[in-house]
Amino acid sequence: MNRLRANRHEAHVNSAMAMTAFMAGGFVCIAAVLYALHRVLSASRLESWQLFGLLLFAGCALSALVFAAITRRIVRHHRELRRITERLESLASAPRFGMLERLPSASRFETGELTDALNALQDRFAREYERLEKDLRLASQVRGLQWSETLDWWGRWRISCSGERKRVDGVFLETVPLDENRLFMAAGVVNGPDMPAALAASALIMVIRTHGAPAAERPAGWLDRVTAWTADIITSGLELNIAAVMIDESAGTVSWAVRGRAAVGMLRDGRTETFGNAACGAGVQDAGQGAGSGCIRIGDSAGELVILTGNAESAVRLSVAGDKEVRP
Amino acid sequence: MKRWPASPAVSLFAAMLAALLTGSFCIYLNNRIIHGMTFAEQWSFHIPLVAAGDALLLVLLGGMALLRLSPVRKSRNGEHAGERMAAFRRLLDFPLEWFAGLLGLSLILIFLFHAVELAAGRISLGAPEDAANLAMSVIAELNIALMLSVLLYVFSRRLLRTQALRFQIHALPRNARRSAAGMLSVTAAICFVIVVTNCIRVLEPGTTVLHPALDYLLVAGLYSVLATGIFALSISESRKELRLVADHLRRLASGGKDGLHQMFPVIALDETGWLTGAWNQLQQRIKNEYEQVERNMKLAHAVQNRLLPLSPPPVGGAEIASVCRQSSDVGGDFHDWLVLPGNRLCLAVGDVSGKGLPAALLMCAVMAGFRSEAAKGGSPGDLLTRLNRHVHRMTRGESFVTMAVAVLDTEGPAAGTVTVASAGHLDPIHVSNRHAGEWAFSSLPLGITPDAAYRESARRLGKGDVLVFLTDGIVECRDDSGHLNGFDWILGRLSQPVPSALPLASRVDAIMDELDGGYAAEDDRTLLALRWHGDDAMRRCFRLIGEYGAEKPILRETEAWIRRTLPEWPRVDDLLTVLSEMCLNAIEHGLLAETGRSSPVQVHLTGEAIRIRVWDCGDRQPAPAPEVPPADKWRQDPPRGWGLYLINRLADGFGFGCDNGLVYAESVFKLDKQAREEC
Amino acid sequence: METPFRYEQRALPEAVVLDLHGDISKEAEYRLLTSRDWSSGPGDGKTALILNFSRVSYINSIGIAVLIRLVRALEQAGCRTLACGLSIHYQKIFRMVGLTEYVLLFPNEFAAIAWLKENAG
Repeated sequence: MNRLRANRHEAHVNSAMAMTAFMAGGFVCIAAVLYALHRVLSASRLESWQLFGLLLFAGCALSALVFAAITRRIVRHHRELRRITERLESLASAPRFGMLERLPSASRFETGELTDALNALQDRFAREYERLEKDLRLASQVRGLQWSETLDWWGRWRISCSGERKRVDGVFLETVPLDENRLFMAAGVVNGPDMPAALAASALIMVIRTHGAPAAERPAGWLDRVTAWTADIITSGLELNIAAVMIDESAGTVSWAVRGRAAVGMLRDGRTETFGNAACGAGVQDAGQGAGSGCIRIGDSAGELVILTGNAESAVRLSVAGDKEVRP
Repeated sequence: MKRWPASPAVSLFAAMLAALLTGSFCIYLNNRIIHGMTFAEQWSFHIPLVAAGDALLLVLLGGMALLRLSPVRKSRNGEHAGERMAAFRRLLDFPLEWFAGLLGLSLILIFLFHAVELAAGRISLGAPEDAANLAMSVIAELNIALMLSVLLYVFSRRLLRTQALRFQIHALPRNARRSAAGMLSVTAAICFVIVVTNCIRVLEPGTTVLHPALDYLLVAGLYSVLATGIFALSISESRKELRLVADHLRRLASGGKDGLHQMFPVIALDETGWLTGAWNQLQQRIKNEYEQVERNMKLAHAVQNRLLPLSPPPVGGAEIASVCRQSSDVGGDFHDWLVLPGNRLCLAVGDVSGKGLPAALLMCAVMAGFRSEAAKGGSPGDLLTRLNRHVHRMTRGESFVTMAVAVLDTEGPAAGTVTVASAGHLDPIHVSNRHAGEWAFSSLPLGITPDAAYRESARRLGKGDVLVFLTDGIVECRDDSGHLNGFDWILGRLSQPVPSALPLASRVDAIMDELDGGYAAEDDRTLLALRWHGDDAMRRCFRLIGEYGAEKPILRETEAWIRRTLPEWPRVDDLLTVLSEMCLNAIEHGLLAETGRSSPVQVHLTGEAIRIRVWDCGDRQPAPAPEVPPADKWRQDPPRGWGLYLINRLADGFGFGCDNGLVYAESVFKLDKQAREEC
Repeated sequence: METPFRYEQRALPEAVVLDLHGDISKEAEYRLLTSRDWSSGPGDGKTALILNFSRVSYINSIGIAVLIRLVRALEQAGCRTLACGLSIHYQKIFRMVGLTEYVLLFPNEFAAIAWLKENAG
């Protein structure tokens, strides 16, 4: 018997019963047709084997029709199950909140009932984790605001930073134009679990801003002062990797200093020179350990200054491309 | 309802036996009713052969079950996952193997039986009727074999499902997957074969028992019912497995937090099993992801907590106590204290708008900014003005921070003066002589506009006065009946008389515990209290008389005081040795060991150091004696002078000074330094 | 004012033990150094003296000087001096003033005796 659907979520058709009833009805029809055919054909002058053959043919033909209808439903049911399975498998490889999406419920039969049950559970997960997700969303907005002042262009230098800027992680970047000839940048990543690293990065950005850019000192001295202030914030389990770079167009130099896993590279005229500390991910080769600061002569040439910090999983690649022409 | 025997082996054997006996009985009935053979006729040939066939099937099928299933039990609890999966698959494939086995062997036996019949001359194929009879018999036996094979398949599948549950397999590898559609379609086809062949069979002439129409009705009806029943059984078993999964899901959806992420064991190798495996995989991933997020939150909470100051430094005459309780793992309340040059104590308390991680991000930034700006100097108002610009830059008006900063002078003519600036924070409460009143301020929170300027206001605290800073979570707490506590409540609590010896920390904890006894707090709560004891509170003065051993009571009292005030400080023994030697030096050289003479001794505890002063009777500073190396001291007779040597080695500084014309020796122990000499 | 100083002498097969009580300060200078002539050894024909400080709570520079004189005298007599029961702080003080060059420190009397047995002769 079919349940009348008042509500899509409540009443589903029991396809097993429906198919069984349909099959029973099919048997009745086949039996009736065979009997009628036998009565009709018995009166004719057919041989018994011919009669047998015709009855068999008729029986098979009718059976095939009913069988086709039933197997169609069986196959469709199992195809729907496979589709639900595939959808579940794709959700399992979705990003975090994407995993809690509902499944499309299109079937009137047991698979629809199953999908409703799955969706009820997905809704429950969504309710349980809603607070966490909301927190993370708002936190990523806060982090986005912290990035909002970084420059894209300064003089002939185009500044780009890899990675998404609104993530809750330990990446930070400050670009401070000191005057028309000098640009100071501090970039890096606090390695460690995402949220504590984000807290530390947030505090670090404030320390960098309250200290101000080094107007009269080298990046190395500035970095020493700033990292001394971060001792309270960079607690166990967190690792600070930071590079401070001063581009001085009037002197034609780039002064740099690094702490932790950070390296500074200069790519020009097809050559790459790297300075800084080891294990900074792909793209910039290690120059060895212990080189914490230095000065690169750049002149007016075009080239790319690359700042690489963090390990291979969380490297921040800051590319500052200097063209020969001045861009707006 | 009678319970089936617990052992699946016994149940399987019983099912097999029942199927074979039923089949044999049906064959007997068929021969008896349709072919009109008597019992005696069947006993001489049919029954023995059928019995032999049954015995052979029993042995073969039983042996097959034993061979295929006995290793399964052993492997169920096996360590190796591959071995368990192989055993699991063997278990669930078995019903199909049994189905094929019974059907195949039945076909062979049917063929053999009739071949023997033919060979024994019991039947012949001379006349068309004989062939037709034989065909009818074969069809009947085939139908019985088909029905029983399907029934045995359904039954064994149901039985082995409970065994499969015990494996607790939660995912199926891709190569283990089957489709249930195939077997269901085969079952449906078998049902049609049963019905059509029996309908046609009974329509053949010579098969009438009662009446042609009645015969047909009976047989067609019987076999239709049988076939429908077989199909219904088969398909309902398949749907039942799906229903089990759906029921489990519904239970989880309406359950509590515990067991939210329960996995369901796979009990089939077909689409239901795939779906169960995929579901398990998804919700394990969900569980892992969010557990990771929660773990991260807890780590973030730990980082936040480490930023908050621990034990307050004892700064000349000031006692600080604080309690900060967050409503969730991370929050926006903060408080801090620093000691500024000149032993000025700087306190801050603040509240970031919002809750959770976004508030915590800003809280860490503001704390770092506060410390950085405080080090630059300036008044509390200047500090907030500078900090406001940075906060606004970070928030762009999207959120704000209320904050109050206080600076207390602990020394000099301004000792006891506290200067406070507020940025939209709750008014601090000044408690004096058991009267608690609000110290009113009016200002914008940090981060609203970039140009806000903040002014400070100053007051002189009397001895015993307490200044209390709160965050709004305190005044918004509710009592047991849901009533808002409000400002008046806290004012009332702070006005209550308390013993002056009661540590401020105990008082603060008691207030917070009372608040926690009410409704669960929705906001973070912070209470920071400052009590002014007067600038002489951290000083101890003694009188040293000129007698050997007179330093002992001074040492005892100093030790008790220091250990009470600085319980974690590791250099108490060094300080006592230095104090002892300075006193001894005064007894010997200043007081000349004359009991009628005495001189003052002072131990002064500040936020940065402990200073010991022992006054001499003279008015001239002794010339500093050259330090004699220990080896040379050993050779002296008597080997004296160890006192100064020990003082120089144990203290962080030693020298002489003059105060109102009186000379004193002073040693200094810096509080932030570890022991100078390690053991 | 001072806790009065006194000592009790015990003779063991390996050494003479002095159980010290009270403050090692001015009074100890008189009682310990003038009670006998230590330059002839600890007495009883023994060549080792064990100073038991477990009941001593206060040693000042006067006391240090007394102990140095005692140790020097015993060294002249070719005898060893061992000490046990000293607090961590006073062990540090002993090290600073160089007493540990001449006095072996042990956590308790048994350890001192065991060492003497191992290093007899």
